[in-house]
Amino acid sequence: MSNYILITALIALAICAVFLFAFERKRPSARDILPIVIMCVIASVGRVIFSFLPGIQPVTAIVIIMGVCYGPQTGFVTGALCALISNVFIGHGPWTPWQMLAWGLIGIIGAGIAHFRWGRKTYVLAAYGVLAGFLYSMIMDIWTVSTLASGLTLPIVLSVYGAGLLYNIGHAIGNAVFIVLLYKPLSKKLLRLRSKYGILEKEIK
Amino acid sequence: MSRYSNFFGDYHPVVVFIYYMSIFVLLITITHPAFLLVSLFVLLLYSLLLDGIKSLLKSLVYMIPMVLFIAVINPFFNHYGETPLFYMNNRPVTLEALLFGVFTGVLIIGLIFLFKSFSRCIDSHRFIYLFGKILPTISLMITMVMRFMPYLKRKLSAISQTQATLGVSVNEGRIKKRLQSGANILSILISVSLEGTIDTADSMKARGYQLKGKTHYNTFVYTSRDFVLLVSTVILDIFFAIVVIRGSYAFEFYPRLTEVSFNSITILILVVNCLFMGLPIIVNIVEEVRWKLSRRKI
Repeated sequence: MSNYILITALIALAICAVFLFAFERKRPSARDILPIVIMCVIASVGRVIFSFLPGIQPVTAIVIIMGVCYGPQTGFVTGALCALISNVFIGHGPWTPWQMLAWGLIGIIGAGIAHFRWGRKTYVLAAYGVLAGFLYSMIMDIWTVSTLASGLTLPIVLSVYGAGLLYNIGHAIGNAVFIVLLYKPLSKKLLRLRSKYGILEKEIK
Repeated sequence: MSRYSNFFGDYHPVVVFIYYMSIFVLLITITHPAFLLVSLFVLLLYSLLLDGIKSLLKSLVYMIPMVLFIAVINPFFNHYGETPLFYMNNRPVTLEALLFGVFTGVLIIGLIFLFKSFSRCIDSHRFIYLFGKILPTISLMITMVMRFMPYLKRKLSAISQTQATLGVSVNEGRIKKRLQSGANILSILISVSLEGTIDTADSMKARGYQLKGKTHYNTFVYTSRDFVLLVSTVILDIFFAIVVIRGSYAFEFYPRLTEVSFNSITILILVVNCLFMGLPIIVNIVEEVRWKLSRRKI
């Protein structure tokens, strides 16, 4: 019965693997991977610094901005790496694949929104940041729910989701604030880097 | 650093990885309360030996609310089970559901400690050794993130010092000015490090990054002790596979708790489990004793 933990973790890991292998297959050059590395450092350090506040951390905002500026694949890789690395300091667990998946998908969706002209506005992205806070916990709580897989009922699922509400509200608000603060200056820097050195140009639509 | 050196982490990463994956699968497959309690005890003991009592208590304090939540939430919404404790809105709150909630909570604690000891044995260097062949770029990026952390910290202090001479400092002035200074310094840090990546990238390219036939440097040697550990892991895996397949050690919570019996076979299973989960502890103690003995000879 507890095998649900293993099965769901493997599913999450498999989905992550598909995206990561797609990234590997493109054989990204050194210039392409380094901006991701730097942003991962800043996001992960930020997460560790802010870890005393429930749910509030800059990772989600930075992942969204990376997705918006550099496309879906970069967004996913940034999210997955941030989860993998910041958990070295905060604590790995069976939830790590879920976290990688959640942040990765948030990055991909961010890139999807930025595809439209209206999607590049700060307030649109801040609103998406709020949504992303809840999306994140919806994906993450699949793990919590899977530990209770035997005799699972709808009220239990709802109460597990409800228990994270305070955390999620913190996360959602934090995302919006970080996006409002970071989006303009950071995207300016990232886009400048791209037009100056031709980084990740293959991903330009 | 820990009071205790972790000799188990010095074994070959592949073998250690296989060992931890076996234990992970075992812990979530055999859902027997006695088995879980014994496993938890051994995992806590290992954590105690590695990090000391203070760190252990601190992490337990964090976990207890979560476990209590799961233990309480299950019986109130899950009405399977035959032994009602009391009724709420005409629906029974059953002993079985309560115990299943407690069981799940304890299982989660066990998993957290398992992953703790896993990350003590498989650090980022070993992680990259394990996955470098499958995901070379991602592994490289993980190493680089680890390397850039102290680098950016140094950069940050250099920038802050320079900016302080211009009157931009987070340590003076009113809150608003401090925040502005902080944002300024952060902005400079990001610009400088993003621009700096171009140098790093070109240097990597010049040194043959992504060229065919490049090999990786690694310090991991597969020796006889790794072979012994691998063989013991496989033997113990087979032992527990037989236990699971025979099904004699199964435990069900619903509709009624399976009776826990202690006979020679179940006790054997628990002892073997103790040995399996405790392998890192045994290895560490043996190595410690050998070290003490060889020092005495000098």
